[in-house]
Amino acid sequence: MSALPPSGRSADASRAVTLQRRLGPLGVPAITVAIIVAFSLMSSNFLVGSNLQDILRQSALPLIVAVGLTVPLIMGDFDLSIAAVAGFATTVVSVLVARDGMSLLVGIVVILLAGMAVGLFNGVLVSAIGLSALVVTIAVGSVLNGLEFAVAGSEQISAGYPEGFVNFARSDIGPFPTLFVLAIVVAIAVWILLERTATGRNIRAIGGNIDAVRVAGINVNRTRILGFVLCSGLAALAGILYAGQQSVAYPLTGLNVLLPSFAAVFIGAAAFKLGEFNIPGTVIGILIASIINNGLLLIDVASWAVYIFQGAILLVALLFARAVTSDPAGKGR
Amino acid sequence: MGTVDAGTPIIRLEGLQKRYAGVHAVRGVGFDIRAGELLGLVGANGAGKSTLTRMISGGEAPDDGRIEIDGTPVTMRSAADGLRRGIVLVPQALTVAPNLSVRENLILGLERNRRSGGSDGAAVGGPREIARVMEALGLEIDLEQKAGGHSPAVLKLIMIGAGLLRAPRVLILDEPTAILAGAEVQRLFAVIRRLHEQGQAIVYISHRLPEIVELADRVAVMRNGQLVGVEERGTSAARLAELMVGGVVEQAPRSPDAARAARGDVVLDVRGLARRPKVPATDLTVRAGEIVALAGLVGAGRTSLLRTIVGLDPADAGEVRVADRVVTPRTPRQAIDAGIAHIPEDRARLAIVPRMTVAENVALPHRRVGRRVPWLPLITPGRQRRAVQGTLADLQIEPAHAAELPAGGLSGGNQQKAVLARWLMSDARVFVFDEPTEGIDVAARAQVHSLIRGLADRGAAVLLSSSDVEEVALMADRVLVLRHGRIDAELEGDDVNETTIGLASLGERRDEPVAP
Repeated sequence: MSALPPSGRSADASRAVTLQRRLGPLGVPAITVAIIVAFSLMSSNFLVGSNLQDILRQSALPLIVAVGLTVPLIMGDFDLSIAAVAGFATTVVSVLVARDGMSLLVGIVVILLAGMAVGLFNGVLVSAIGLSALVVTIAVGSVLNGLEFAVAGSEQISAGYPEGFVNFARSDIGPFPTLFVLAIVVAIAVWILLERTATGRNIRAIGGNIDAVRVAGINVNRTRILGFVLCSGLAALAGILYAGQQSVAYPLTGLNVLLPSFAAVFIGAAAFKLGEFNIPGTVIGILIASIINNGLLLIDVASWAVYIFQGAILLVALLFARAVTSDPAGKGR
Repeated sequence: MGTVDAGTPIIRLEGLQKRYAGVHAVRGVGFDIRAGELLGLVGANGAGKSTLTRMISGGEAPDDGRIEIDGTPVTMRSAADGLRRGIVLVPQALTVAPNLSVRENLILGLERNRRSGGSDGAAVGGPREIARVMEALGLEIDLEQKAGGHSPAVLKLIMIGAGLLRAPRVLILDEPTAILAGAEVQRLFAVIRRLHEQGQAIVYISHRLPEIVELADRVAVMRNGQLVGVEERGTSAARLAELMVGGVVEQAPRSPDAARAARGDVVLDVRGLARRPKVPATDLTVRAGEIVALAGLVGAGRTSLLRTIVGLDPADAGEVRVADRVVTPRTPRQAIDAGIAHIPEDRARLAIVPRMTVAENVALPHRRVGRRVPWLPLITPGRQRRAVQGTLADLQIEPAHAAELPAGGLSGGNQQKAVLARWLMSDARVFVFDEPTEGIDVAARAQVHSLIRGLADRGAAVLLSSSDVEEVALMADRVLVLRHGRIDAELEGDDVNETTIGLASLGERRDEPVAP
């Protein structure tokens, strides 16, 4: 095409766009490297093998939860009950297995089913009945918090955990913590579901245009419910594993995953597939959140400051995702 | 208005340029918009009309070139800047807030600049001004009622009314009739003519060339971001189409072979299908190889009927049969399984997932497309692409590697073909089209028409709903005219022509009455 010579301004503009296109996907990896460099300068204990193992260990369970959370978020559905589901799973599996002596396998199956039932309940209320996901999942979370006390009483459970279970949760495979390897396996499985199956295509399509998906004959409600079930099921799995890792349980002292999971998934939207939630992005997001947590503890900031940083990271991730995805060409002609 | 002599340029454009990443949308366009004139602006999809109008109305800053208003170069930073200078753009899409009342929609955004009083001295947005505008538009609706309940046609008129309330020096109408039908189009024409007679300068953008030829004093024609000509009054639609596409447009010939259609077996048989209150008990049949069109005004209930037939809005009485089997779909999935494909109106909202690739959009309802091993539910992007590639090529979807591109980036015509490709990959025997060429340029429109005809030729039963009487007359073997939700007339043979269809839509009949 014989274009007229571009004026200075338009050349600048298109150069800026190209720059954004090229550098946008590199932003999150670059930030990760910058954070690692900063912490290793500030603390000589940061870039040490055992500390890196710690980071992976701390990442494992939040990663399982965040991978699950990614699925409903892709469809535009929020799930704020994840932390309560994980905490409920930790407490109840401890009561059933450690205190009451139920077989570990049965306990795990029961709790996983219970977790998935919570997801089913959330999903039916949100997609079939049409209630607000935000409010429904907050309410369900509160119910679960209360049920933790109802089941456990105000008593700490600290004995009776099966030895094999505890050893498994604390073991390593080569240099990697077993739970982290497990989390990566879960991430790969969910990635395959999303990117390599028709169901995953439906999930992503619902996030893009739910009306069009409905008209195309896809059962939108069923797919959204599946998202909630998967999310709650994985949160319950993380909660069960947390019980083994800690071998102690007390109501409302479970895995702190709500904020880190959301932060990770939103950081992930600024990496790989820009502007879309995606599993590799979520993995990177969890690692960033864990690295920052770990680094802050190493350089001895006050423990309350960790909360401030967690919130700030989420906000920065949102701003960054918006910045790299604001695409002037996207306005069309 | 009226202080400037007719014919004096209000706006002068010189060498306007706009680039987006990789796309040179507008390349050195310059012309005048004169006081009191009705300037038509035409061009194929992607010719740069929308970008140009956004620059004229301040919504987008040109990369290069000049915009002069009353002889003074201006720099506008936002659409609000444009409004302050009296340039009002009424966009193609419906931008009415459904939860606000008609009055609130009319005066939305006006509250802040009431000082710029109207022509007769009444406060802008005041009851008298609103009454005047409503009368000019011929609208008799309750101002306090929520806008959401009205038909698209009325909503469009409300948008134009909101524009008029700003006492515009130049009123830009982007595809105002794209969603209107029959009587509403005529009503809008009457409104536009009246405004024109009152000396209102209007820029009128449309794909419907006969409209432009009829209304415009001059017509600016764009192609590939450039101005390829400014035609004076007296030009023809054929001439404009030729300028737009840079060659002669091939119009699909009228399919006269009604005899062929009449021989086929009844494939789609709708008996007493109802969904009250919108769809009263309705009977209709479509034979193999037949194209039956639903005509009627916007709001006559065409879309409601189609949505009931395809299970989007389940029926509460009656049945749908496909080849003598009762299927009466209650969900779109059931319709698909019964062999009914639905290509809905409003592509962007109801058919396309813009972010996903064309291949994914085409494969969307087909769980098995793209599998490596038939019994394993794993699909690979490469297989999925190859599986749809042949169909995309048959439909001449452009560019050739469209399968890998996000569907949202394609032109309207190519998007529509992609939606069609989706259903060509199923073994549908019934194709239901709602406004198949809405917002599609002339060349793509002719292609879509011959694709639809090709379906019928291969024995599909086609049910097509359109507010475009010309399209109905061109395509249909038989026409069912809906009025107030009911099939009010059935036209066959020589009665399938624009005049008869148009009259029937309004409840008028030629010669002897047709049995209902």
